[in-house]
Amino acid sequence: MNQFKSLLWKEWREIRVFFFIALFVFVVLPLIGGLEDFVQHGRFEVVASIWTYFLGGVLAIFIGVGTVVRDLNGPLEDFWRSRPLSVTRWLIVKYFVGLVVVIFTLVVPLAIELLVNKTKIDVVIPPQLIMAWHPFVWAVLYSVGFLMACLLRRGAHAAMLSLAVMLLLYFLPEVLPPLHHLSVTWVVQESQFPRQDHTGKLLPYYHALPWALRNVVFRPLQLQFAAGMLILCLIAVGLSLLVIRRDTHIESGRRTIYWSIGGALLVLFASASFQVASNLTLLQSTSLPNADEFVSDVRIAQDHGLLITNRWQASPPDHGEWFHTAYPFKITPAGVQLESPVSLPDKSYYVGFVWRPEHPNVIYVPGVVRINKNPDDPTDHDDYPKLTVFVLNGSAAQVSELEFKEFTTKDSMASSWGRHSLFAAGDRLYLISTSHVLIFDIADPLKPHLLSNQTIPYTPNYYQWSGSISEDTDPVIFPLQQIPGLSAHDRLAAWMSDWKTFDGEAFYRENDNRIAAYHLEQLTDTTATFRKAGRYDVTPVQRLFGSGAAYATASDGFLYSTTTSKIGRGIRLNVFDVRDPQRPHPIAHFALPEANESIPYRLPDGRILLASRGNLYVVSAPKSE
Amino acid sequence: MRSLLWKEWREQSWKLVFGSLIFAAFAFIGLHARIVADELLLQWVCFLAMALLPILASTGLVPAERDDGTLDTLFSLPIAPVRIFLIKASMGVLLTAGPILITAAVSLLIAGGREMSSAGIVGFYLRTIIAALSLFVWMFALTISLPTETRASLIAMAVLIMWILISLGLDHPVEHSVFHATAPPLESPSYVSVIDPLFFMASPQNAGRLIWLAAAAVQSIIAAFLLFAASRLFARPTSAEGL
Repeated sequence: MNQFKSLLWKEWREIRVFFFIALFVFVVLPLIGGLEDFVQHGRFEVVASIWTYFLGGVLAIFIGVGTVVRDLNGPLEDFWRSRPLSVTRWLIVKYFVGLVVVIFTLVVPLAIELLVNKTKIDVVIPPQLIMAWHPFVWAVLYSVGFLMACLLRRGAHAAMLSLAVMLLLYFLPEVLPPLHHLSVTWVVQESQFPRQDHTGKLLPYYHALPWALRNVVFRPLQLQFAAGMLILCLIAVGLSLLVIRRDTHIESGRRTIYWSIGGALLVLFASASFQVASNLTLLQSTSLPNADEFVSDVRIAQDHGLLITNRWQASPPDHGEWFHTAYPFKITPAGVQLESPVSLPDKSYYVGFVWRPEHPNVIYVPGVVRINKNPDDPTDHDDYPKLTVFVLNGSAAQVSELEFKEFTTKDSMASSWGRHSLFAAGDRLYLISTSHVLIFDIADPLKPHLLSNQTIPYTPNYYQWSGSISEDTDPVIFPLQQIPGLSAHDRLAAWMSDWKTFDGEAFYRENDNRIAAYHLEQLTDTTATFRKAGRYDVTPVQRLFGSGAAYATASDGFLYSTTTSKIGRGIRLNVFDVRDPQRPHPIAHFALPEANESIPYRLPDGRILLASRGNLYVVSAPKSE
Repeated sequence: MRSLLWKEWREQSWKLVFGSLIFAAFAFIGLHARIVADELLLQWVCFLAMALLPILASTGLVPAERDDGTLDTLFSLPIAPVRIFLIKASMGVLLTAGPILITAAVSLLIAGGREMSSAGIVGFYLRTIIAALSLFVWMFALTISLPTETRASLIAMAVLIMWILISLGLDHPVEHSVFHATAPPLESPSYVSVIDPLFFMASPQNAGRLIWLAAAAVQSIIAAFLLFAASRLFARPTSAEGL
């Protein structure tokens, strides 16, 4: 056995304990999980990517540190140095054996997942993308652990410092624009959502990634990431060699550890502040007359608007009453100026109402009159539609109700008036259900005149659809109701009138983890086809400081969302630039000292109105507008 | 006496710098960037300061000296052990309160009168100092006879966790704050709260002046007792097991 083989054998013997532990954690445990899944659900699927994604870096550091400190700690080092053995060769063998163990134990579980699973399980990001790009990061982290161990010669201290460097490696590229191409998040997203032309074909500069197990594409710019990571590895190995050859090391103590941990946490916090810091200004804060009054909906025109509030007034022991109020308002340079409130009767939910800027004192509210036929069976009833006109003059609205008993139907999914929407186009008002449409002439806004009643083919309505679309649905094909006199665009707008994240040509879905942008690809007379164009994955820091999207509104190429803080109280407003649906990205944030959920609306000049319980806030427009 | 003070200052001042820099920077970055609402940020800073500074201060004063074997040398000097004890305790108070005061000054400069009034911020930090000092006394007394700093750190953390758990189980007053929220009805705090160091994080207005003053009085007595017991344990020779 020559010297090289002996060294290999020695290193393998010493590192194999890490190897077996890693295999147990990353392969055996997911396999046990798969078996459990098989017993419970009859399908065998392995989910290893989540473990490699979150723990891969830590394993790389532990192996990097562990492989060095044992030999460079005390008398053992003197023993090795006394052997007729080149230090460089010894260290290089040590480095590469450790690196192979790291890469092997983290890549094999991903390969097993890809080969075994028949369905796509996208817990964090697709395993083929982790396999394509994350090994570079693991290699750097392993090299950093290796270098720290050479420098400090103390396992715990080296691991602590390496973990601090790991934070820097993950977060600095997110924060500093010149380092952006060293961000693993960026490089993965580039491969996950490659740019396409208008026909859906990949742009010509994309190529298949040669080292990926499945079809993963990349563009040459992404090679900067790979090159950058390899250079970092080389620097770490070079420094390690230098340190060991010269036999220099740093005496680490409590101070080193305190300062390094404190410094790393500050870097983390500073990078978080770069990502989620407020870059908008609070321009106006207005209180509503009642602190428990909450805004249910807002309509905005060029320089004026209308908001409707609800308030529940409890009367003990278990009764209460809803109070509804309409507030016309003006949009001024200072913010919004509320005008005299108009009380509305508790006759409707005031959801999906139509308000036209040219007649700001009139609103139309759709409704249903229910006739219970059997007192013992609440499901046995007939319905007929009604249209209520509210004239907002004086302190109380004048109400006129138009009921249409002649269109009474037995309630069922296909003939329900229970789910309806109201849509205005020109002087026409459309009261639409899944299988009926009443068309009114509203040239005289106070006296809607029924022009026609049409029975239309049954079409699942928005409510039936919205729950059935998952994050991964692609494409999304919406059926269009056949409403006479309306173009396909208008029918799409009517169908999605309750979907505040629909913005004419695109709609957005968002949750704690991501924002997905769908772009209108095809509009026919019967269907609207949306394709997923891009996605923004919320970073862990953003998730920490504001999670659980409560309300979102899309308008003019921007998506406004409010989230509740995960730690403590407070509302966070996030503004995303979605003008390029393939690359949604955050552009502005604002931390609101407000504990109640707030609904965002865009004012015509780009400023943002936040409607909360008891308060209205006006926030400045994002700078890039 | 002056040389002893100088010795402690030379050994411990880096902790003062460390605590001040870390917490002041944390407050500066958070408030400057308005990463969350000001009050929430101050709650984070104050909680971390209250939790970490007493551990940092208490474990490095005596157990570290026992660990290094220098405490016996100190006792061999012609100075009464109680004086050494007092100097160490004073240094602990400085290490606990100093960084909080500096952080308070930074917070006032950046965010005073912005979302919270300056008086509100000052009150918040002063209450944090009281809570942190109360925790410091507990940790200092319970770790003073331990032979190593590592063991002392573990005991100090256990003390902190114990009080956090106790505090979670008690009814604490709800804070009125800059947040516009429909406040739940104010419940009167549990009388057991008077022995809880974390109780001081609530203001006298919200907790009720009487119970707040009672807590201050009871905890002062407890602190005096703990310090007395600690001074007795301090002069005992170092043993391998400690307490």
